[in-house]
Amino acid sequence: MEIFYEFLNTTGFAMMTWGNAIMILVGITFVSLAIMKDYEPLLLLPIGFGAIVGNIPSIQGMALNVYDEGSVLSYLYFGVSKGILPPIIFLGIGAMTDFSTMLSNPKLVLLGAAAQVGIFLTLIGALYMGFNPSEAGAIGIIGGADGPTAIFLASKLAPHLLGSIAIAAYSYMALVPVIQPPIMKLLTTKKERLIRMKAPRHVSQREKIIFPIAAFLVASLIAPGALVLIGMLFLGNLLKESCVTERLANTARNAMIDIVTIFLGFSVGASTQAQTFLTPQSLLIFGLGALSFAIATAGGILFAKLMNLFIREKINPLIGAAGVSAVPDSARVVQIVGQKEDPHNFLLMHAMAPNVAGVIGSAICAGILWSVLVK
Amino acid sequence: MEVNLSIQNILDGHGVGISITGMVVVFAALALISTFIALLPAVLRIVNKIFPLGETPHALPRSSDSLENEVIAAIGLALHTEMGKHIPDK
Repeated sequence: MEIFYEFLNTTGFAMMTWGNAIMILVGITFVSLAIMKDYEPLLLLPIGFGAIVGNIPSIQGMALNVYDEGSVLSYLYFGVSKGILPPIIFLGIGAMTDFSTMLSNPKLVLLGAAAQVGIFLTLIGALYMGFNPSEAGAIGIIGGADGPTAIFLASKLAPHLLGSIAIAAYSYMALVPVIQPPIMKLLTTKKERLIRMKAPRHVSQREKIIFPIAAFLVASLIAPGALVLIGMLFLGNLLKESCVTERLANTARNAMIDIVTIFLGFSVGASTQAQTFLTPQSLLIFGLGALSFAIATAGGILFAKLMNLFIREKINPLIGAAGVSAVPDSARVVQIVGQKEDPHNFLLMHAMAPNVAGVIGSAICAGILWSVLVK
Repeated sequence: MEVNLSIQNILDGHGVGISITGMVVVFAALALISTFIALLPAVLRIVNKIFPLGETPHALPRSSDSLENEVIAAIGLALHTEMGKHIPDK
């Protein structure tokens, strides 16, 4: 009987805290949002289930959770905590991305730079609240709206905030269709939302092959800290565009990215144990993350409006909102908001240009912050 | 961590300097990439004259132009056939 009582004391029910229960509910909410609302299901589902797994109380002395040395979960989490998995995701993204629209209208690249203002203003906000510079940099990168980049930088600058930053980044990416439209409508007039843009020109295969090599050289020579992310992104794209490594490109954009997404999502979720996650700090990070997304969206739109003052062929300022990477969700949001005004206006292909430029921009920002803030 | 709202934190952490530097660098990098993209077609016109496009070891994907021409031809044929039904024989 004594053994039975001892066993009962080691069950999850006996050791469950209110914090664990809340986090399990958060995990269930994520899974429900993924399944019922289709909000970033590829990420929210593994993250949500990971949060449930990570909040089952473990027995003292048994290596079970991600923070226990030698546990299975700690090995899965290793790829996250050391920043290994994000570059592999970038390889897959590169192998999926078609830079044609960006190559056909190079001025739209600048929108991808303008939207990065969210990162730096949030960094200032985080410093103002009392976070140290490294933590502030890691929090600011949430404004890049790029999950892998946020995880990569957080693992380098503020590993103790990794769980909160990753969850905030992916949650807001899932909420792009909710956060962006009100800001887009607030900052544009009906006339601006009705602007139609010229169809993109045909881009030759040679341009598509030369671009990843040249853009890598420019970006990594300017910000060497972005070398790993940018390098993998453009390697993936070169595999795709070269037309001689179709098998590798296929693997990178299908099987490989899927496997890595499962491990990354699950282990990030499992790292959100109530004891380390449910802190006032996490709440501040969530608040700053939302602010960061809003500023980044506004930055892109306002810069598009500014560009319209100087260029002859006007651009629809809505596409500036796609500068916040979040590929391809923010481009899709631009298309939806644009079509509400004019059902025959197709902005998706135009929005993809600042969207992919935003991916490059946020990776460069991560490189800059890492170079400047590394101790 | 204690929440300690203060402008001094921003000054101590060089927040403004980092932000201005960051924005300038990211704009410079993307502006350079944008300029390169804008110049690329002109450069390629010269390169194509020196190194004309030859046979590649692997088939390149069909260009959208040739696909568009095929679609236009198919639509043209369908229209011709359909319209032909309504034109009385001479």
